[in-house]
Amino acid sequence: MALRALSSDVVPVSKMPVLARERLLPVHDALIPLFASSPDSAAGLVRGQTVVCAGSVAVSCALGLVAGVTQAGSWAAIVGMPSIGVLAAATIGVSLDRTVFVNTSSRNQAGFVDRAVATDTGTRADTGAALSALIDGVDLVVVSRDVISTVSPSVVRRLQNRAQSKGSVLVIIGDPSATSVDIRLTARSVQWEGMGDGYGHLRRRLVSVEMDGRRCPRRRVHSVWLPDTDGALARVDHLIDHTIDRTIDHAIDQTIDHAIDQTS
Amino acid sequence: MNDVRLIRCAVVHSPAWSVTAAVLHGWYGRGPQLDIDQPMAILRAQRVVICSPLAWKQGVRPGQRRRQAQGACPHLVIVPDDPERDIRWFEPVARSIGELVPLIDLETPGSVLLATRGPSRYVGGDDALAERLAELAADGVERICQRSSTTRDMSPSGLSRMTSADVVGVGGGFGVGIADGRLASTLAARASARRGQPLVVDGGTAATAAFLAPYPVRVLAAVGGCDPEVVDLLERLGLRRLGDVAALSVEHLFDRFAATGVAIHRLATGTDDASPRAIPPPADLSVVQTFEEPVGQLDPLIFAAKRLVDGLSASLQNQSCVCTRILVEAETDHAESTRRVWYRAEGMDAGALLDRIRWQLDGWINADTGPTAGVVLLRLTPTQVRRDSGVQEGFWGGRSRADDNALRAVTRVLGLLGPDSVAMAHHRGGRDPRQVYELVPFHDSGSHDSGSHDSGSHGSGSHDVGNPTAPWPGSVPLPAPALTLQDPEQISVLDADGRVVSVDGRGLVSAAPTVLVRGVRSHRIGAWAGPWPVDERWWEARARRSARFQLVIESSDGPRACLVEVTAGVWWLTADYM
Repeated sequence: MALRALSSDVVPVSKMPVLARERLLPVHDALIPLFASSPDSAAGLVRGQTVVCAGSVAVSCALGLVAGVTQAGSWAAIVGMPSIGVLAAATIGVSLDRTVFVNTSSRNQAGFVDRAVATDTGTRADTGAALSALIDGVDLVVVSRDVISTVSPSVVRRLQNRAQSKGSVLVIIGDPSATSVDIRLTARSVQWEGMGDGYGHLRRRLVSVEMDGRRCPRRRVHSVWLPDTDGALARVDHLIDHTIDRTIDHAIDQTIDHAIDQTS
Repeated sequence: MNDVRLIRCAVVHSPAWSVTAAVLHGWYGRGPQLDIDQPMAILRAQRVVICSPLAWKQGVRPGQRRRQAQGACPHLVIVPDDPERDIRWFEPVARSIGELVPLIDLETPGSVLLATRGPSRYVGGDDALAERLAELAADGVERICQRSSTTRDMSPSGLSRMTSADVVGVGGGFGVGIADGRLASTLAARASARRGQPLVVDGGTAATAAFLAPYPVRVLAAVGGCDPEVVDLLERLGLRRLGDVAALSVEHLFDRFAATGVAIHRLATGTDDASPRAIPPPADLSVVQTFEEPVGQLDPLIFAAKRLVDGLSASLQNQSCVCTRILVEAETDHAESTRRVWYRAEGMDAGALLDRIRWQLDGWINADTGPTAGVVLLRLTPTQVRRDSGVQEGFWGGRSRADDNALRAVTRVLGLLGPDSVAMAHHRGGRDPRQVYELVPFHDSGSHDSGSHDSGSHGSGSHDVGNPTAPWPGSVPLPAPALTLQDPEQISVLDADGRVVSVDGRGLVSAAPTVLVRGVRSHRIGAWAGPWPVDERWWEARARRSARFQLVIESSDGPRACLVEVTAGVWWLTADYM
């Protein structure tokens, strides 16, 4: 009797049953078609999983994941990538207020190697502990394949287990060899627009992102502009050419701005 | 009813300390260099918070929007608000004053309150004390200038021309006021800063009331900790000055405003000092943490302090209170200690409390004359609380649970890998995509808790880039490369005949680039554009003249774009659009 009364209160949230334990981290708009398992169910990064970004556009793809997560209020850490393009990250949509950049090399800022903590591989001996602390505190940890390879496979497995229990997502840029991976995103450059033989400049790149892996029921491919003309990650819409619309919007914005300036 | 009687206090106050802190941060820290001859204003969320006296003369006022301020003063230099920077650079001044007095009360950076009874007798009177305090404050800033060498190149205006007195003058100088009670002494200090001379108000209720009478009622909200709505109401009822309030009888105020009215009357007549909203804390609320092994490092201390603070906030919240005044003490094995009272009229939540503890311990441990042994005791004692209406002021932009977790993780990583291992990005601007943002070590960045960044804002991903800073002329246009090589790689760029491509002084290319050779592999160049010439620092002997090109090379993975630079005939790969 009580159970029947209870069932009338329960309202189905979605048509696809979502496991109670699994929770999702948001992804960028342009990548939603990749992550949605069906048109009605929620799309996102499943917490606790390990994602690999591979291919020639791996770094930008990883930054796209960071953008989706940080814009929604979560924190992200980018570990062991001193060459990361911060301006590119900002234009893709990464919220720099909530992103920390962690340097794990045994070289400090001045470029000197700290012999006390350096190992043969050129990274610090306590990298594993640092990664563990980051997995505890932030929702998305992006780490380069090189840093992962300096940590022993058993430690990597422990880190992955910790990520599962804390609900963080581990993103590895580049294909790691001895690590089990839940989702693999291969981002390939299809075409660059805007530049010719000595004229123009790089405007935008069409990228095809392929998703597979043991947590994927079937392989999925999706095209995006990464980057778009203003550096963002954007959907590809064949029906309307957005570049024209955007220039018109820009012109209107400026005149309004001007009018406000003159009246204030 | 409060038992606090009027204590004779001295207040040292700098009207625009944030400006001085920004200048110090520019010359002795990692901030942007600021010219002290320019008018400056501190902005938070596009509104002026405080401005330098020079800017005030030109018509800039706190509360103005950015455009209004720039309209009044076109040459205005705008500095973002950063409370942590303000307090960090005030620490040496606080310590300098602390040498004379064991216990000081810090409300805001730039303002110190202390009880005068002991020090006044020691120095020989209130006037002598006021002079001594002014000296000590100036000494504090002098120490910063002497101890740290500037981290920047000499600008044309010359560092030697700038003395510590000039730096302090940018923020309006230091005023010293001595009077009965917090309200009167704070107002005296402000008046003193304006006049340029210490101000001592005679003791006694009559003299204090006479001093307070001409001040507008608004100071009760600004300085006295009153509810702004009540003060607003007073003004609308025709009571514009404290003298008007004092002239009324207590009964009238009690009829209209109940207990708050009585407190306001006492403040205005100089008979009592309690903030109308303060109540004595429930007994036994102090929390202590002792360490078996002395702790010498800052981060584990902060970690322990966080646990204490969380426990304290939780028990205060259970009683619907928030702490307004707290005594923070730390002792070492060698019986050295630091004791400071922190005060904030609106009350301090867990985040604000932890910040102050961190500033106090950081300044103490990392000072030249810091402790010689590890810390064995940390004690927090709230001495004044107020009822918490449940509405968070959101002064610091609101910290979420995610922010706290991230801060904790970063603190651990800093402890493991060292102080330079974690950085955040700061917008700097530049022609080179590598320079537009710089990575600043976490504790120097302050952006994890500054009021200027609204961590809850929507679409804040483009917040930094959308700034109205015009693109630098000659910069490579967007989109930006995802990988900007820290150490550029030397390559060769050849034309169709296998000769190295060169660029002449006018920016003309010798031949179309056709092949890019990187190590042992050569790649065909599908498209190219440029040059974007770079002619930087031409006044130096080692002038830097180079040209940038964008290249698209064909590879098995599809077309790949990169940024290359040629200097003196040598080609370098500087960035990859991965």
